[in-house]
Amino acid sequence: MIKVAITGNIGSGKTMVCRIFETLFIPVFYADKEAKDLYDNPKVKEKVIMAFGDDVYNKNGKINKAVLASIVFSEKSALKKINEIIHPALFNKYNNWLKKHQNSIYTIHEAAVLFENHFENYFDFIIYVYAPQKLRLERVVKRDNISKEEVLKRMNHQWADDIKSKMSDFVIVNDEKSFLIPQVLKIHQNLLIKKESNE
Amino acid sequence: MAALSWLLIKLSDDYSVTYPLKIEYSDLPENKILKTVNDSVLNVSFKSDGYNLLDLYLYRKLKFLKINLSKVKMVKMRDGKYEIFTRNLAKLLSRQLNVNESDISFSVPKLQFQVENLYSKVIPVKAKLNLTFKSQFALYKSIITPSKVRVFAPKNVLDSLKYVYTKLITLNELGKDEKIKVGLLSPGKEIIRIKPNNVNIVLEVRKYTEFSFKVPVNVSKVKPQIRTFPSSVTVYFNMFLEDYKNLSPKDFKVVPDVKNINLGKVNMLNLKVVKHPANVSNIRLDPVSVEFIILN
Repeated sequence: MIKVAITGNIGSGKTMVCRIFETLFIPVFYADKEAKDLYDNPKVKEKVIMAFGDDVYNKNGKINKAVLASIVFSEKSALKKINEIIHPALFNKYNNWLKKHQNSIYTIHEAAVLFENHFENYFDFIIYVYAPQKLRLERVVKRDNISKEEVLKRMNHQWADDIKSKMSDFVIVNDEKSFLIPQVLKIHQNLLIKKESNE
Repeated sequence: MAALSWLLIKLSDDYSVTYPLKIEYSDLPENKILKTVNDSVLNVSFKSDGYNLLDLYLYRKLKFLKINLSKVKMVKMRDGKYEIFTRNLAKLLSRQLNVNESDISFSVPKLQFQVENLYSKVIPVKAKLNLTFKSQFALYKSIITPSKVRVFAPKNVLDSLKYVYTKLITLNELGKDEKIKVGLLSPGKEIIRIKPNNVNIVLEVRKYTEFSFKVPVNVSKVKPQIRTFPSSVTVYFNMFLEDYKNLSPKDFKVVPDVKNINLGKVNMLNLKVVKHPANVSNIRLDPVSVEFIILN
């Protein structure tokens, strides 16, 4: 089965692209959402508390995203540490999910950070969703109700668009000028052809 | 000296004069109104000495005959017609003219006029407002006291009346509540009476803010079935803080505008808000159009 990854920098519109693929009956694994859910997993929780202390979880036992983000985005070693906890559990979850969808034409794995974590070789094809930085900044400020400075801080942890575009097999431009659906349909057709040629 | 003596002698003489007096009727009962008046002027002749006539001419400016209808005897005829015998006015005039009642005579023996019965009903008052506000302020509500007034008018006129409006209230740069006493506009002063004829208005001025909700694009009525991308959009709107707590995204309905659109020939559909609460303003959507896929 063909494994496709969709990635793109924060605010690029990856999720909307994935929703279009879902309309074409392509299953999508939303890695960022799944990763967030992992913080409720007792084993993961124990490791996170061991690494960063009790404060990263609030009184209800839920992860305090603001505290975790402030730690992770201010210390490179903290980011490495959290990745070491989350990534194995996430891949385990992804592999189980793949087994459930092994009869699909192809599957999609959506993640904001892919190249940065050197996961590109795990997939057969990579789709990069591109949007100009100004537009992404506006989208995230509106969507997450946070300051521009906060968004820029997060953006600084991601690689530049041109590097990621070159490393990808397909690029979808989501700049509110180009239509998304025709681009998705074209990639879908390409992937169907590749699937047939593999068989 | 001789001229003065002559004048004094002349003023002490009696003279016969005739004055045309414009008739003014007053004090009709509240539920009646004058419909037609046959005689608008009555010629009054009387005899008086020169001193009195000079006084009348110089100071008392004899021009009108005011007839208080609650005090004179009226004879009711048919079809709302009434008559007043002018001889009954002699007593009133004798005091006004300072002459003997018997020295007064009239050009006609009676005055005729027609009275119409007025009907009444209670109708709401609407404020006529011409207001400007400080930035981010607007009229939250206006409270009119009394909110309804009794209007007297001929039946056909009364049936056509739905509201009574206040006189135009013009206020600029409002940033706080205002209390105003204002008169009511009568659509026909001659035939319509309004009680009371003024009201108090409280203008409640509040600050509004921009709010937003994420609202799904409703495609349930679109044939063939479609799915939009994005499937929900942000609706921005202005609203008073006081009202916001009662609001939810379900109060809004956003649909794609598919009127006269061939879905097979377009890539995007414009969106429109087809349902929203009455107390929101300046509604805008982000995005204003969506891509879509026709579902098989």
